[in-house]
Amino acid sequence: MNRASTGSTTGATPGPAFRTFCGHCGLPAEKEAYDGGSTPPSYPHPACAVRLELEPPRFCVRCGRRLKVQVSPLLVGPLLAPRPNVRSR
Amino acid sequence: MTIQPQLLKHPILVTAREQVLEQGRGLSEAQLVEVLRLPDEALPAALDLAHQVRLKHCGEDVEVEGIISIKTGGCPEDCHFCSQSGLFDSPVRGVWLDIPELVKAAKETAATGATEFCIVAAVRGPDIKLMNQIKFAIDRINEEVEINIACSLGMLTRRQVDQLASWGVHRYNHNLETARSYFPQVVTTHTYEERLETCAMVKDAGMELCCGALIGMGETLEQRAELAAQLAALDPHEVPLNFLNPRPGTPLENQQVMDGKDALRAIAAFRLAMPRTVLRYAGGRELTLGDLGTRDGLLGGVNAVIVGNYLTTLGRPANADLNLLVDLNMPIKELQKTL
Ligand code: SF4
Ligand SMILES: [Zn+2]
Ligand SMILES: [Zn+2]
Repeated sequence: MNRASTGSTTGATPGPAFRTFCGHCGLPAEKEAYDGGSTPPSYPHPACAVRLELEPPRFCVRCGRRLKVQVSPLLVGPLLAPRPNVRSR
Repeated sequence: MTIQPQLLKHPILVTAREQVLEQGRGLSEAQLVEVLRLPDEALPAALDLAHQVRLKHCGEDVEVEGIISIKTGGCPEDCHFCSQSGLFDSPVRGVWLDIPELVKAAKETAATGATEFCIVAAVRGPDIKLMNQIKFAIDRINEEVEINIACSLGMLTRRQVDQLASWGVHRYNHNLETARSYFPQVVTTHTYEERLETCAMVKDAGMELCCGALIGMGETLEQRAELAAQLAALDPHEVPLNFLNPRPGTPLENQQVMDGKDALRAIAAFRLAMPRTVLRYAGGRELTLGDLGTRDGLLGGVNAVIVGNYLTTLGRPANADLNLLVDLNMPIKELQKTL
């Protein structure tokens, strides 16, 4: 999986970033500062960072409102496309 | 409120602010084309506007929904984007899930605080055998679990719509996928009208309609606007917005992956077309939006997401993802109250 762009708002991101809240837990993103280590700066909470590597946010990062969440344990049609590089044989 | 200078440069955004944000009226097809044609530098303003529209016109929807498939693969239809089609050389194989397994999944879903359980089958439409299975499953689930049941079973007859409604199915998912004018390019085994008919009957019967779009299949911007306008006319409760992830073994496998910024423009346009709909960001995340959409708040107009497939694709067994549901017990943040 290509994670080269992890933590960066460069490249395709136009204009300012709006992130104010953590997408995983919904708490203010300023709560824990970047630790200067391997955690990318766009991830204020290291534990949340791990989850956000794997799945979409559950909270709006602009306003902290909870997103409606649909959980799918199975791959279902066009709704849930697996990555093309993870072909099953 | 003062109008941001960014908006003023783009008349369509000024119009959208007045018409959609202030008055709650979605943009027309022609107006949507303008949104889809906005230059990159207008994107933050467009997404910000989409976010404001969401804040003003959508409720605080904190519902959690589990989704499970009782039949994958082997579908007789030829939808070019879908690996469930049995017509293409695609790796998915047909599997039937047994009813006790389904009830167990519903229980686990409910145990996490989820209020919705959606049963999905990859079929053209249900036959009697499937309808019987569904009826049986619904009865078993209702006996043991307190949860709303939704279904996605393909195209329905009037009788089937009425049956599902009478069994207490409260929401039905049936996607338009693409614009009417582009539909024949991607599906030849059924018509757009057949899809529309099912959607209309579902609404008539009083069930909530969840009606998805799949973009990035080679349609033009005009056709993307056409799709948004067609969806808006159906006024669905919920619209899952998917971006094509070209699937190996399907006719669209060589389709260019959609540009992330085009995907964001589409998100803004769909929100501006449908100010009140639950707009779900549903697929193709890694391929189009990558990190930028989800981490930096660019999913401005979206108020729902789908989770759970990512771990599966990383090689965990599918049912291990049910454990993910436990995480959904997160409290609703105090933050929301301050808004
Ligand atoms: S009808 Fe549904 S499951 Fe069947 S091929 Fe088309 S999209 Fe896939
Ligand atoms: Zn967090
Ligand atoms: Zn928000």
